[in-house]
Amino acid sequence: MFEVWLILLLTALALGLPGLILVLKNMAMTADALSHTILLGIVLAYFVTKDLNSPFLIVSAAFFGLLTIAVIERLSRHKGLREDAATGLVFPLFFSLAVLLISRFGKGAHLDLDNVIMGEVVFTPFNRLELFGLSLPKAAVSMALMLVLNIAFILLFYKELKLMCFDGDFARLSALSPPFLTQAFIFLLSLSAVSAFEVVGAVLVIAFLVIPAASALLLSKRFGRALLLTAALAALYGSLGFAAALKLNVSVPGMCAFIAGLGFFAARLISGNAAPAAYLRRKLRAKALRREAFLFHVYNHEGSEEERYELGFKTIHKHLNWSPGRLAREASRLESKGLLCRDEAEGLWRLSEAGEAFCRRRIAAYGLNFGKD
Amino acid sequence: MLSLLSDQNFWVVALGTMLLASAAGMVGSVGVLRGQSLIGDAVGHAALPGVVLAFMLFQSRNPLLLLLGAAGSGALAYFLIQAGAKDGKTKLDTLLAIVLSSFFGLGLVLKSYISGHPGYAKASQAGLSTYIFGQAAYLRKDDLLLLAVISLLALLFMLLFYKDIKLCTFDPGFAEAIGHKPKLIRGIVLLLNLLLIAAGLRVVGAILISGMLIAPSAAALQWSDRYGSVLGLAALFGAFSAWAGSLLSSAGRGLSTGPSIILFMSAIALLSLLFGRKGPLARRRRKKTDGSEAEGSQKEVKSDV
Repeated sequence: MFEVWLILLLTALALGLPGLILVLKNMAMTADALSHTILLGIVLAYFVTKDLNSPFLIVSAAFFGLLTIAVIERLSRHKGLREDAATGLVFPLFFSLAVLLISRFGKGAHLDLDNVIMGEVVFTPFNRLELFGLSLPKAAVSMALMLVLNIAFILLFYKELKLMCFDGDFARLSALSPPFLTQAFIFLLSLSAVSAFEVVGAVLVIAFLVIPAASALLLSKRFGRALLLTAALAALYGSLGFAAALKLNVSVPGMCAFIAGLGFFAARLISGNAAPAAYLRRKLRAKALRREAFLFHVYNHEGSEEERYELGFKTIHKHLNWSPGRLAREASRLESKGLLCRDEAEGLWRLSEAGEAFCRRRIAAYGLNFGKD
Repeated sequence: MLSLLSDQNFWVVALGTMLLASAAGMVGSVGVLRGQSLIGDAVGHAALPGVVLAFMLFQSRNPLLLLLGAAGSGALAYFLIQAGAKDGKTKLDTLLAIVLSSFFGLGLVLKSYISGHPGYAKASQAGLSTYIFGQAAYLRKDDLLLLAVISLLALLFMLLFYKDIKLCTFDPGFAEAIGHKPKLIRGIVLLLNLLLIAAGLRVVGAILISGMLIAPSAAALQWSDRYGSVLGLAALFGAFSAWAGSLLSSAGRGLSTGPSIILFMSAIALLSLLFGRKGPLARRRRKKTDGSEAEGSQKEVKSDV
C-alpha cells in the first residue's frame, strides 16, 4: 500500500506543477481535450509497433498532443467557429476514433479500455521493472522521471515561463521567450499525461492538473509561492483521497478528484468575497478605520482653540458621531495600547508620543495633509 | 449489415437515437452561438454521479428516476459553475475543468462503491457502466419512450418559440426592451439541455455527450447565416450521424454507440469547416473569381452575440 501511495503522490506532483502554467494561461479545457486525444496517438502507435511497452507509444502520444493544440488553434482562427466550439469538436473526434479502434482491435492485446479511461493506481504496483538490481513498480519509475523532468523544465525556464503566463503578448513581442517554449511545454505535458493514464485514467488527468493549481492561485498570486502551494496541495489532495478511498474501498483516482474539488470550493469560501472571509475582513477593516478616525481627530484638534469641546471627555463622542458606549470601548482600547492618554487636569483626551508618531506615520503613508506638518 | 436494415429492432433503436440527436443538435445551437459549448461538456460529465446516486437511493433502474438524478446533478454543476464564475476570481475555463473532473470522480467513487457492495448486488446494476460510453443496443422500451418524449418536447419547443429563441440568442437586450423574456427562454433552453444530456447518457455516454450538442450546429453554421436553416441543417446532420452511428455499432463487434455517433458528427463538422461557405477553400475560390473582395467582408452569424 505504501507503494500505491508513493505512486499517487509522484503522479499528483508531476501533474500538479505544470498545471499551474495551464491555469494561468487559461488552457484548462484545452488540456482536457489534449488528455483525451493523446489516446489516439497511443492506439495508432500500438498498431504499428504491436508492443505495449514500446517507448514509441509515448512519443506518438506527445506528438498527438502537439497536433491537438495546433488543430484547435487553426480552427479557432476559422471565421465560422468560436474557440470553445473548436475545442469541443477536436477532442470528441480524436477520442471517439481511439475508443472505437481499441474496442474493435484491442481485445486480444491487453489494451483494455476501462483501464485506460478510468485507470486504477491500486493495480499499478503489479507491473514491475528491474532497475539497479531493485524491483520497482514501473509506474513509480515513470512518474518520478516525469516529475524530475517537469521540475527541471520549470526551474530552467522559470523567468520565461512566468513572463509567458502573465504577459504572453509582451513575451512574444520582446522576443524574451525562447521559440517553441509553448510547444516544449505541451510536449512535456502530453508525456506527463500519458504516463499518468494507468494511474488515474484519461478522464481524471485534468483533475490532477488543474485543481491544485487553481486552489493555490486563490491563496497566492505570486508565481513562486503559488508553485510551492500547488505542490503542497497536490500532495494533500492525493493523500486525503487515498486515505478516504482505502477506508471506503472505492476508486482511488475518483476519490482524489472529488476531494480536490471539495478542497477547491473550500478554498474559495475562505478566500474571495464569499461570506465568512469577507465578513472577517470587513470587521477588521472597520476596526482599523475607527482607530484611525479617533486618533486623527485628536491629532487635528490638539492645541487648537476648540479643543475643550472637540476633545472633552463628555463631548468628544458627539464630534466623532459615536455613541458614548462605543467611545468608551475605543478609548480604553487605544489607551491600553499606549496611543492615547487622559489629561485629567483639562478633562481632555490627548495623544501620547507613540500616538502622535503613529498619526504622522499613517498620514504620510496616506499622503494626507491636515494643515499640520 | 444489409440484414440490419430490415431488422425492426434496429430501426426502433435507430429512430430513437435519431430523434434525440436532431433535438440535441437544435437545442445545442443556442450554446454554440453564445460561446458556451464547453459548459455542456462539464454538465455531461457531472450527470454521472446523479445517475448512480439515484440508482443507490431507489434501488431501481427506472429510467425516469435515473434521468432525474442525472439532470439534478447536472443542474447542480451548472449552478456551481455560474456562481463560481461570477466574481471573476477563477476563470470559466478553469472552473469547467474543476467541476467536470470532480463530479466525474464522485461518479466513479459511487460506481465502485456499489459494485463492491453486497447490498446492491440484488438490484441489477448491469447497464450502469454503459453510462460512460453509451450503448443504444441495450435500450429497453421504457428507455426509448422517455427518450422520444423528451426529444419531441425539445423539438416542439424549438419550433413553437423559434422567433423568441432567435431574438433572445442574438440580441437579448433588444428582446428584453420589446417585452420578450430572454431570461425565461434561456432558462427553458437550459432545462432542455439538461434533460437531453440526461436522456442521451444511455446512448452516447457521459464523456462524449457534449459532442452531440456542439458538432451538428457547428457544422450547420458553415453552410448558412440564417438561423432557421442552421437549425434545420443541425437536425439533419444530427439525425444522419445517429443513424450511421447506430448502424456502425450494431454491425461491429463491441463498438459503443457513443463514439460511433460522435465520430460521424465531428467528421461532418470538420468537413463542413473545410468546404463550407466560410472555410479556407471557399475563400480561395472567391478570391480567384473576384480579386477585389476584401477578406472578412462576409456577414457572420455570430458576430453580434
